[in-house]
Amino acid sequence: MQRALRVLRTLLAAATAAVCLLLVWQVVDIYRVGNLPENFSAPGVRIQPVWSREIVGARLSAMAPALLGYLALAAAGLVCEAVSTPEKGNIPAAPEDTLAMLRSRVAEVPDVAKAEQRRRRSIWLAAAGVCAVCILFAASYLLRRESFTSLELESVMGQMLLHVGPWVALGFLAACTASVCAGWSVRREISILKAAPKGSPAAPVARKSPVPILRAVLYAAAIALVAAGVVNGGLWDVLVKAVNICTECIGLG
Amino acid sequence: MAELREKLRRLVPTRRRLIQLYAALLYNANLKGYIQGEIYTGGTKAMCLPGLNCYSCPGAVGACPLGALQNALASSGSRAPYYVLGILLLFGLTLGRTICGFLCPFGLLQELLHKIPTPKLKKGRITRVLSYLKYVILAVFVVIVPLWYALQKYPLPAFCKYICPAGTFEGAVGLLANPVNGEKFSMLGILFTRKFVILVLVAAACVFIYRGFCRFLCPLGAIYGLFSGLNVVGVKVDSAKCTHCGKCVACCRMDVRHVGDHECIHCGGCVDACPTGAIAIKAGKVVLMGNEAKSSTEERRVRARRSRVAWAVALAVLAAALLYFNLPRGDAAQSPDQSPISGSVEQDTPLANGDGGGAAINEPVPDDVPVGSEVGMRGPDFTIPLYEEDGNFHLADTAGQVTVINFWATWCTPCVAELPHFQRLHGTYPDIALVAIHSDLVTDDVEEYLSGFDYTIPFALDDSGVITAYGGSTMLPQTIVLDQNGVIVYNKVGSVTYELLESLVAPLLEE
Repeated sequence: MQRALRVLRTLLAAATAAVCLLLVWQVVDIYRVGNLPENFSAPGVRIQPVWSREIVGARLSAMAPALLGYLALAAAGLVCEAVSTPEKGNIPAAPEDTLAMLRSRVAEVPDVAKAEQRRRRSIWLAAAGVCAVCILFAASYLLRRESFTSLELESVMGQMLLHVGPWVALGFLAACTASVCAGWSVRREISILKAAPKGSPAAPVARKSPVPILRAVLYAAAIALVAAGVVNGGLWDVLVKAVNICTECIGLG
Repeated sequence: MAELREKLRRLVPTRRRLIQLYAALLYNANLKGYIQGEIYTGGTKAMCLPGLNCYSCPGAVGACPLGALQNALASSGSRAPYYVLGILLLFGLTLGRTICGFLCPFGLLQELLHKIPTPKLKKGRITRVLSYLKYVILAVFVVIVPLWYALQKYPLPAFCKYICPAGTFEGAVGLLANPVNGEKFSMLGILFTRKFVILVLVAAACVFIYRGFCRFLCPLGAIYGLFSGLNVVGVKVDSAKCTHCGKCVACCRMDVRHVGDHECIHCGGCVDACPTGAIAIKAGKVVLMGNEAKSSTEERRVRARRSRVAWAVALAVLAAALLYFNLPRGDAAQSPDQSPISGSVEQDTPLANGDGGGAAINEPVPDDVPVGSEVGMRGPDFTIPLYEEDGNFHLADTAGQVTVINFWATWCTPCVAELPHFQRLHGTYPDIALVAIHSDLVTDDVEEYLSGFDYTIPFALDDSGVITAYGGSTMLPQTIVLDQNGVIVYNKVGSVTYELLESLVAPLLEE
């Protein structure tokens, strides 16, 4: 049964990807066909709209066997999952939690373990440095008005994707790399602490939490802001925009 | 037998699932909106709902907090967004990301998609880092872009317009699925194509990745995550009982570092996993959901009684909401959604019925061609006040001219974007009559708004329901073209290009 379920899961994964690609392809194709030169009586003037109920109906009819097949497969998968016995497995604790637990049980953290902590701090500082540089370059591009040849949002978004996107990607790459390296360091520290002598470290000093005071202040601020918003017409703004459909804001465009 | 009972128990929806379904139904209690293909326009839409639920969904009875925030920031040049910020602060402090775990319809949708049995992507260090992407999206698309474009007097809710799959699914697809809105398909173009592709990709990703949109893309979750540690209702850990075994984090499917951090959606999945019963969902000091195995009989009895009372109240509220939003009220000919907004458009206005009456409406000239809003009919006559000029715009005065009427609003992005096309048309074809009529729902000082531009086209205010007479309702922009006899040759909702306008107007002038 478990083997059959694994096969079914793999089939469903492939089917999900296939249906996703099919839908994307159909949608893009509808747009492509709608923008063929034959559909334009004059520049910018289409003979037929790109999308219509008939076009969507025809495409859905063509896809119906695939979509219905996928739904049937998904239903079968759900039934099989429901009737099967779940695989019992012990999910191991995250390394950071294991580290926290070990630290709470050693008498004194060895110097080697402290060195690993300093190494992790350096890794994260380096990643933060890379992120800061990326933010600097991205901001310097964004804040320069001459970076944008046109204020049309499409053009702005395109230029941001080309010139700012790589810096954002680099920042995330640096953070991912730091995370992976920090993970290796955590595992090394775990093996060090496992070998360290056990003891009872000093109990942490109980400190009064500032959360209740902060919460009270923020609640007062929230109520004041809502009242101010009602007075200055913010409530009316929300209502007006919610009872009217800005067509492009929901993708009707 | 025990195995069968265990399997049947797994099929019963959990309490959290029932709360999610309840919330989804309550947020979208206007069920008749799905049948009629129209959105609800009543006063409850001034209220922001906690979860991600597009206000363009036909069933939605409240506003989306993310859309409201973007619109408020886009209008921040004229009005500080106190109300929306205050509401978000209230929601964040009270519930935080418990909203994500219990009260978000889009979160429910993601979890249901995730149930399709496929190999699943496990969380790890990389997914933890990628979970910060939603903060970048929050900063860029929800805050910076709307604020920056507000300086250019261009309202742009960038996340709603370019990314939000909830808007595409609940709003666009929800409206288009109704045959009544069949003609709305013609306004779809590159924007819908892109957003639909994003919707399909997000839906597919959610099959493989638990709450893929929530974890990596949702700016609303990013906002509520800022309140981790401050929210009153949520998962709390009793540090006296905690042994740091890490089972809670291990069993969690979100990218948490510890229970209750900014990635925790307070779903309570860790409550039963904790071997010492250190974790519970609490509202302050009151335990709402605790480890049943570790609780005493008295504690379980008290929680069960509290739960029954809460469900009784909740079901009563839901029943009242369903009745309120769906039962017809008043005259059947009138719109059942009587908006409390003063000056709002009533469906049964004399203008809408084609009747004469009132100083602003003139009797239609008798003719073989009927008066109405469809193409081929004679457009109803009207008189409305002009901005920036003394006097009125009187449609009858344009007899013998090609007339272009555009319905717009300062808070409507595509409306503002296409005004230059009308200005260009006005300059190229000075013989045509053109008027841009602002919706009667005004949020900015329109004259002050227009003073920042060099438009020479006449602007007017729709103070007598002209848009309703021309078949419009709650969707903007709308453009109507009348020929020299006042007969409608074009009447559509959606953006227009200069080329389209010229292709409509030029042949009429040549005749």
